[in-house]
Amino acid sequence: MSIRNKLRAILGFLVLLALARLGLFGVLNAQEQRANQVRDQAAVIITTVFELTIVSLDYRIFQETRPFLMTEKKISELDRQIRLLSGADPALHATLAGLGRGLAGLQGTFTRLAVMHEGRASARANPDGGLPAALDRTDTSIFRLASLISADANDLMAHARRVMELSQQRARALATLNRDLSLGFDLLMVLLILVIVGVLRRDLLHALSALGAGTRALAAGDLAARIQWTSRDELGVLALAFNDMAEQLDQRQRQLEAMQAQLRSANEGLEQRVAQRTVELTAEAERRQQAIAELSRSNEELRQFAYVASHDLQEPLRMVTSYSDLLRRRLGAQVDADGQRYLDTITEGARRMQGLILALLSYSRIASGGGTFTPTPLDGPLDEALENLHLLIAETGAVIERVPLPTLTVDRSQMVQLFQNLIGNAVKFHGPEPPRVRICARPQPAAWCISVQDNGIGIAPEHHERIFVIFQRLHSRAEIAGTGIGLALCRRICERHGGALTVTSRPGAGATFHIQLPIGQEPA
Amino acid sequence: MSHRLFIIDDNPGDVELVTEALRETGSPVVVSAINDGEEALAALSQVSTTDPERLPDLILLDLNLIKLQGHAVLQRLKADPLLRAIPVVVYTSSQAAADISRSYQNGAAAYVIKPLGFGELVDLMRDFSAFWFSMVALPPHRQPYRQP
Repeated sequence: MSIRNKLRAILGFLVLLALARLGLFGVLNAQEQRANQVRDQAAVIITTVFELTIVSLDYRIFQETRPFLMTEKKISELDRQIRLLSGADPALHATLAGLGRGLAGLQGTFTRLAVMHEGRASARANPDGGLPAALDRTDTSIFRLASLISADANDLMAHARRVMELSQQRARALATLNRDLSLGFDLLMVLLILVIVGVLRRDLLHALSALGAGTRALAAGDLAARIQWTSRDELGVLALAFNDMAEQLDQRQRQLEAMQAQLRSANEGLEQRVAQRTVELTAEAERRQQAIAELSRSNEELRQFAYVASHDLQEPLRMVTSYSDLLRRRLGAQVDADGQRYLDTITEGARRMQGLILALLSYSRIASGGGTFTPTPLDGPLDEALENLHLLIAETGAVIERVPLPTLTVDRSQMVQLFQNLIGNAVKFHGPEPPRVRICARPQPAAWCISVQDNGIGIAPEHHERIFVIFQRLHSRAEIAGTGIGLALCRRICERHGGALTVTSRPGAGATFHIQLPIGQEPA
Repeated sequence: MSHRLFIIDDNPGDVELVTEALRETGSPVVVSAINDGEEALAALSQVSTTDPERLPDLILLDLNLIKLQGHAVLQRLKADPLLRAIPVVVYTSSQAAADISRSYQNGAAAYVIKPLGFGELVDLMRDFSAFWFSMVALPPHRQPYRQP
C-alpha cells in the first residue's frame, strides 16, 4: 500500500478513534448525568421522607393530626417522584417499590389516624353520643397506629436512604467508569499513535538512509550503486527512479569513456600527423626562406650591377659627348660638311646611349629603389604626369579627357611615371588628327581597371606583346622619338603593385592600355 | 682680380672640359687641380698655414675619387678650421639622392651634376661663375686666419 494511502488510513483510523472516544464520552457522560439526576432526586426524596418522618415524630410528641393534611401534597409529590424514578432506573425498582408501599402505608396510617382523631374529637365534643368503649377502641387503634407510624416512618427512611445510597453508588461507579475508560482510551490512542509513528518513521528513515547512501555512493563516483528497496509505495517508486537514474548515469559514463578513448586515439593520430606536417612545413618554410634569401641577394646584386654599370657608363659617355662637342666647336670651321656630320653622329650616338642608360637605370630601380606604398588618390599622380607633359600636350594640341580616379595603396612616384609614360605615348603616337586621350576607371572584384585610350595610329595584334619588351621599338627613330623602354617600365611598375598592364588595339583605330591595380594589396 | 678655382677630380678630361668652358665664358678664373683626394687635402693644408693668400676661392669636388672618397674629403675639408670657410661645390656625375643629401649634410655649398655635352657645360659655367665670382661675396682670406 502506498504511503499516501497508509497515511490516509492512519488518519482515518485516528479520526474514528477520536469520534469513538467522543461518542463513548458522550454516552458515559449522559449516563453519569442521569445517575446524578437520580441521586439528586433521591436526595429530594430523602428530604421529603425526612419531613414526613418529622411529621410522624411531631405527631408522637404532639398528637396533632393537622400536619397530616399538609403532607398530602408532599406525599403525592413524593409518589410522583417515586414513579418517575422507577421509570428511569429499573435497578432501584425493588427499593422504590418498597418505598412506594411504605409511603402508601404511611399515608393510610395518616388517614386512619386523622379519621380516628376526628372521631374522637367529635365524640369528645359530643358526650352524649358515643360509647366510651368505642373511644377506647379508637384510642387503642390510635395508639397502635401511632406506634406503627414510627415503624413506617423509619421504614420509609430506610428505603429512602437505600435509594439514596444506591443512586449515589451508581453515580460514583459511572463517574469512575467514565474516568477510567477515558484514560484508558487516551492511553490506547497515544500508544497507537506512537506505534504508527514509530513504524512509519522507521520505514521512512530506512528508506531515506538507503537513498542517502545510494546518492552519496553515486556522487562519490560508484556508478554501480543501486538501492535495494522493493516496497510498492512512493519510496519504492523513488528507489526505482533512483536506480534508473544511476543506470543511465552509468551507461552515459561508459559512453563518455568510450568516446574519450576514441578521441584520445584520434588525437594521437592527429598529433602524429600534425607533427609530421609541422616537420614538412618547417622544411618547406626553410627552403622557401632560403629561396627568398637567394632571390633577394640576386635582386640586390642585379640592382647594384645595374646601378653601378649605368653609373660608371656615364663617365666615358660624357667624355665622348663633351669632347666631340668641343671638337666641333673648336675645329668645326676646319672640317667639311661630311666631317661635321660625322661629329654630329658621334654626339647623337652618345646622347642616345645616355638616354638608354638612364632608362635602364630607371627600369632596374623599379623594384628596389621604389618608395613606400601609401593610400593615394590617383588624381594627384595624374595631375603631376600631365604637368610634366604639358609642353608635349601643348605642341600636339592634345585633348585630355578624364574622370575622377579612385584612391589606392600605391607608390606615388611610380604612378607618376606610369601615367606619364602611357599618356606620353598616347600623345606621341598620334595619327593625322590631333591626339585625343581618354582616361577612365572601372571597378572590378577586388581591383580597379584604369584605361588610357587614344585615337592614334594603333598597334597591330601581332605586336601586342612585343611592345612590352624592353628596348623593342616598332617605329624608326626618325618617326617617333623614345628609348623603347617606356612600356616595359610601365608593365614592371604594374607588376610591382601586384597588378597587370594589357593593351587592346587595331591599326588605325587607336589603342587602349588597361592598368589593373588590386585593392588592399601587400606590396610585392 | 681673378679668382682661384681648385678642382679635385681624378678625371683629367673633366678638368680640361671645365677649364675650356670657363675660358669660353671669358671669366678670369685661375684653375688648379689635383687628381688625388689625399694629396689635395695635404696641399691645401700646407697652403693654409704657410701662404693663406694663395688659398682657392672655391673648390669643385668630385665624389667619385679613387682612394679617399669624395664624401670623406668633404668632411675633412669642413673639419679643418683653416679650410672650412672655403665653399665646396660638389661637381659629380651621380644623381643619387643619397649622394646629394649626404653632401649637403656634410656642408657642401652646392651640388652640381656634370652635364653631358660641352654646350651645356659652357652655359653652366657662365651662370656658375656669374653667381660665384660676381654676385656672391666670398670669404676673405688675404690675411691669415686667427683661431676663433
